[in-house]
Amino acid sequence: MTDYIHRIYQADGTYIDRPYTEEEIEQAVKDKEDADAKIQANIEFEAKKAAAQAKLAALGLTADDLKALGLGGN
Amino acid sequence: MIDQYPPANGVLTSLIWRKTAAGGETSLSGYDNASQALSYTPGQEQVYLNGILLVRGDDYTATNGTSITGLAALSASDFVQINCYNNFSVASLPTSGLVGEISNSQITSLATSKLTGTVTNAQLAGSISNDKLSNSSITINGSAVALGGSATIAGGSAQDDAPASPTEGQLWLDTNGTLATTAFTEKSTLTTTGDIYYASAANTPARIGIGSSGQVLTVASGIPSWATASSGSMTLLQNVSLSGASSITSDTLSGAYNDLVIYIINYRASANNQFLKLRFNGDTSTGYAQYSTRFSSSGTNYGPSGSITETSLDVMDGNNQGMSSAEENNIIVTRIFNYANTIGTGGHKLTHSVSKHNKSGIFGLAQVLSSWQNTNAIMTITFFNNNSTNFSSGNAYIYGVK
Repeated sequence: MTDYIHRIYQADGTYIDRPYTEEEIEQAVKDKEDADAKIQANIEFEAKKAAAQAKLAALGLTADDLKALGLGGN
Repeated sequence: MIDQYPPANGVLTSLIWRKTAAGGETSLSGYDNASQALSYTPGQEQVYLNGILLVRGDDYTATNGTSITGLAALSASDFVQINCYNNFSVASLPTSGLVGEISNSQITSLATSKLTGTVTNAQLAGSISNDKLSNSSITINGSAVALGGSATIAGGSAQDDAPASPTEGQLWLDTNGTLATTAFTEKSTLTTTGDIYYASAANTPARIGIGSSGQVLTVASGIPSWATASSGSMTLLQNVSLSGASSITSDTLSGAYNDLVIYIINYRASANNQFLKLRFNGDTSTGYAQYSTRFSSSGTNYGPSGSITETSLDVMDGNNQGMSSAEENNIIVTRIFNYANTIGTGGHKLTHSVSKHNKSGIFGLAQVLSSWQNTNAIMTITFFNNNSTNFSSGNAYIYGVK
């Protein structure tokens, strides 16, 4: 695990650095897992979107055609 | 006859000595008919015999100042008149003043010693025109000059290069005829750095001491004063440098404002695909909710998407499309409404973030609507990257908004 540093600013413009606590390290790991999961979900979403667009193209349709039919989102 | 006249700038006065001859006299001296003693300046006398002016040297001799000799023997009842002219010096001028004009040719020189005494206003009635004062300077040493009424100085150099600390009461001018700023140092009402000059009453100068940081000039009881702005102002509370750590927390924030606005300029992380996140008061609970959309210049847009169980807030976009570590000119602006709210509406603090950020030459525009549900006021803000990667640059300017 990387040595994480937490910096705390003071009123006079100086700051105090300290290593992450055990609890903060656990939270950092969790934050990374959450972010990675969102990124993966986006990748999967984009892949599904691309596949769907390919299917529409094969049918000679576009996303605008679906919207005209009241289907699909904005 | 006279063969030596008094100097032209002298003034003549005379003794008229008259005598009736007894007969046979060849010289005259002593007292005349009116008991005046004969006294003359040799060469400045005239001798008349029965009304006829005699010739000095031929008809008489006058050398000793008290007698006339060498006369042809006088006949009884001859009448002799001797006019005696003498120089005299001017001891004083008439107290009523001189009437008329004294021309330059009549005053060929003045005494080299200084004039003494006093010239009163009555003696200088009227004005002295410039052409009568053709000399270019007037030097007055050692005495005060009082100027009643107004004094007009039309340019020129009265006194240049005022000293750093002029003596109290001195007046110095610069070469343009304007008052030198240092001329008022010791008499100035302004005594302290930051003082402002104003009138506390008509024709009454006064000073206002400098206010404290963030205060604005306002009016109270009819006079200006410094005060904390009651509305409409933005006050820079903190400038938090985003570098050199994985997470960075602000100092404790004042709760005296309505909203907080955070300008995050040139934010970068030390690794790619990072995006900036916030936590309030170090809270890692799932009390954060957000809804976001993102436009990309590549044509691939993201969102809208939302979540009500977040453990932190995204301020770039909620779709976790990060940015390149090497690209700059990223701008994020976040406004936190009612950040000190502790009552009502479940303690929600609503935020709105807009951002422009870069990734591989493609820029994204995003906005995030979010809230933090907590009954505590926001006291600190922690900035961190999604992977707790170190910050490499950026500043977060935190403003308090009234």
